[in-house]
Amino acid sequence: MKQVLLFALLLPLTGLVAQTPNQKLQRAFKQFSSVKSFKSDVYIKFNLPSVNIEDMSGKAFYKAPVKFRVRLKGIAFLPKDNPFRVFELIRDSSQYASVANGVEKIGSEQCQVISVIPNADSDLVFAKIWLGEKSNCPLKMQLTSRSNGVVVVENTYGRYATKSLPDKMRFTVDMNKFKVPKALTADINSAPKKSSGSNQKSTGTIEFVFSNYALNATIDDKVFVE
Amino acid sequence: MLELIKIETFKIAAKPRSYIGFAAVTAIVVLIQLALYADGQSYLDFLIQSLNQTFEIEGIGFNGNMVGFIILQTLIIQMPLLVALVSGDAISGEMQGGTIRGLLTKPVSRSRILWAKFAASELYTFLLVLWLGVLAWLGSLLLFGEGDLVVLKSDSLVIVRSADTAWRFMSAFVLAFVSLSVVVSLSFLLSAMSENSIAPIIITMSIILLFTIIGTFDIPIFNKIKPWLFTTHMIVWRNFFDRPLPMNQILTSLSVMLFHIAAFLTLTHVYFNKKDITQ
Amino acid sequence: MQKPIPILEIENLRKRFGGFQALDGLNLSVQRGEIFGFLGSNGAGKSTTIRCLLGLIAPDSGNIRFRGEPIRPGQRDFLRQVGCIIEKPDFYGSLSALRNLEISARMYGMKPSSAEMQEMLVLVGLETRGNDAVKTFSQGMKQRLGIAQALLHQPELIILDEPTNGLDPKGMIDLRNILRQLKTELGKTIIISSHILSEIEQLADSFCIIDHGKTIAQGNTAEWLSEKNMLLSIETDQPDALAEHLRQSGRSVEAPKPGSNSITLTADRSEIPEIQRFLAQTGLPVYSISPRKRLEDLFLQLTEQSERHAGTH
Repeated sequence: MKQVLLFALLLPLTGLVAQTPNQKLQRAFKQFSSVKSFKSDVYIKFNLPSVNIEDMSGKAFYKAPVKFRVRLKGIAFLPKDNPFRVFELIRDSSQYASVANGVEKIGSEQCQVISVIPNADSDLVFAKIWLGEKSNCPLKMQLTSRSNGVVVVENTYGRYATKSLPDKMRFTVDMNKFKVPKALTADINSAPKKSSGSNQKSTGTIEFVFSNYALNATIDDKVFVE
Repeated sequence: MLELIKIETFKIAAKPRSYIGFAAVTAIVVLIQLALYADGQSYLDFLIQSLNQTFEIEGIGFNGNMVGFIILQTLIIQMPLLVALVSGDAISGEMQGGTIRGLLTKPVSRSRILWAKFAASELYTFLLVLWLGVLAWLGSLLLFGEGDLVVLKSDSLVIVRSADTAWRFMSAFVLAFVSLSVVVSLSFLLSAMSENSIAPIIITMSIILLFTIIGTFDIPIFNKIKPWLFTTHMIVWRNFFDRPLPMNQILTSLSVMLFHIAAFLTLTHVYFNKKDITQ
Repeated sequence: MQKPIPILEIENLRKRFGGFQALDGLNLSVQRGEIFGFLGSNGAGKSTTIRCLLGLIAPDSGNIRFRGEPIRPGQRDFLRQVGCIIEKPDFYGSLSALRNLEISARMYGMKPSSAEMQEMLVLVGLETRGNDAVKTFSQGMKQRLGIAQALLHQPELIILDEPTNGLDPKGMIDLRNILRQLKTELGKTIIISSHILSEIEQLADSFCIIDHGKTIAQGNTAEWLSEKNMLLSIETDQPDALAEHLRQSGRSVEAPKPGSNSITLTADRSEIPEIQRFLAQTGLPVYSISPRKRLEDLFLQLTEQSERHAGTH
């Protein structure tokens, strides 16, 4: 009797473990799909090797399926990739092929690593998603696009984890060494810095810290227009 | 003393050459403003093209702060010539015109005459810098509007928020004034030594040119003397647009420049007081 | 009667420029209220003396006394009592005559009214040009403006270094008249340096001749040009023989210049008839006897003596 009871209890779990990468992605999309729109405050922290810029505050806007925009006062260096594009990609499982790449731990959470390859000829050519087994949220994404190269996004979740809305979103970008002709700058007499190579690449991060989410609020499309 | 300064200021005001500086600043500033008004954005795009590939650059556009900064950066090369035109003539002009004899036979000590002339030259320099500030910065703000400032360095750029620019510009203008005062005191010394007013101007500019050339070469022997050249420190005003503020560098440069001013003026004082007026 | 204290005395003034001894123990003395001619050839040291006095050049040694009190060269309270023009008056050309006067006056701590400045311009005959830029002025007008500038602060002593340089004859006459007026009407003491001796002869109450930085003669002009010590120029075919005869009779005769048909001797006016008789007795041909007694002759005589003296040393 005990054995029967144990089997009955474990049956749903065995079904879960047996989910295909596509099913896991669908489940993740479903969790997010209840968010039709949001607006929130966003605090942006920059850590870019060639750009000395102060952290700044602004507003973030999202509207399903894939409109996302950060509105700020002043100059800001933002990642070119829309981090919510991945949900647009995984919305329809017929649009992509997915492959499980094992498990990895991010922080304290075990993640399924799933590679996603779009079927259609789109700008996004490849995505690798670290999907939290417990939270069902994408904890990390590596997006490779034709236009923007490789961008890594790491998400940290809190109050809105059940809706896959992160508290923090950290973008890691590869930067070519910033070079301006000396004649155009005024540090003419400054001591030359030792260079480690002319095509030196370095990595920078931009971190969005979201707060005060207002979910499914009415958002004018004008917000997304340049 | 105030009366003497007034007289010397009046003399400067009466010379047509004194207006060359103001005319040149006005012409250059207006020219740059017009050029940037017409094609500033593409100039900016060119400068940040390498970053455009990586980032979505929000809110970038030409504004008064950027134009003001570009003009300040461009004009700092010409300003020494413009101030030397007046300060280099302060004593030698009196020699050349013969008025030095009348001047030095008045019941006023040579030291007081010298200081009054220096004060008047400094006043001229201050007004020229002020005019540059009004025209290049405030004028550009009116023409292009406010906005964040992009400061280009050879290997990076610094974004200064619009609200954070006013004190930086004002401090930069003060430091630019101090660096031009080094030029004033140098040309003053040469002016005391010369009997025509062209030589001090040419020699002043030649020294600045030579030191600047030394400053641009990355040669070990030059690197050793660079920290002692006043021209190395004349662009320290730019540091007010850096973050975090390189206060040590600013103070070092300020000290070197003040030392040069003091040294040049002491030499001028000694030389001028001992000089026999024979011509 | 006690001799009045000179307004200005210079004693043993020396100045060397490199290897050139410009002033070599120069002395002079100027009495109050006189026009004093300061004479010397170009390079004799006139300008250097004046420049030392006014502080433009630092002398190596020497004493200067003003109203009997020792002063330093260029001492400020002395300069307050002096108005001067050195070589030529130079002004700020783009400024008007009135503005130049105002600048000069302010250097003395004065704030002259327009009326006071205009008064000065009237004195020098420039009343209609006060508002004109000085660069439009002729040299004579500048000279006159220079005098106005030198007088504006009402100095006791006026020093004019070569004031007639660059002046046309009319300008010279005008200047002479102004200086006489300054002396007689305003009681100013005027030191005027020049190498144009005829000018000084007409103006100066006393004079000083310098050569090679030394005083070679100084005194009252009238006394020096009196009937004593006249120069007589005697025209003859045989100057050497005639000079020898005169010397033998105990007279002071200058050696005839080679090729010259005249000799010069020094004598009082009262001696001329006796000299005529003596010349007749010699039997030598004499065509004329001309009394010459001008400052110019005295100057030439003294400077030539000085040259000879310098040559023997």
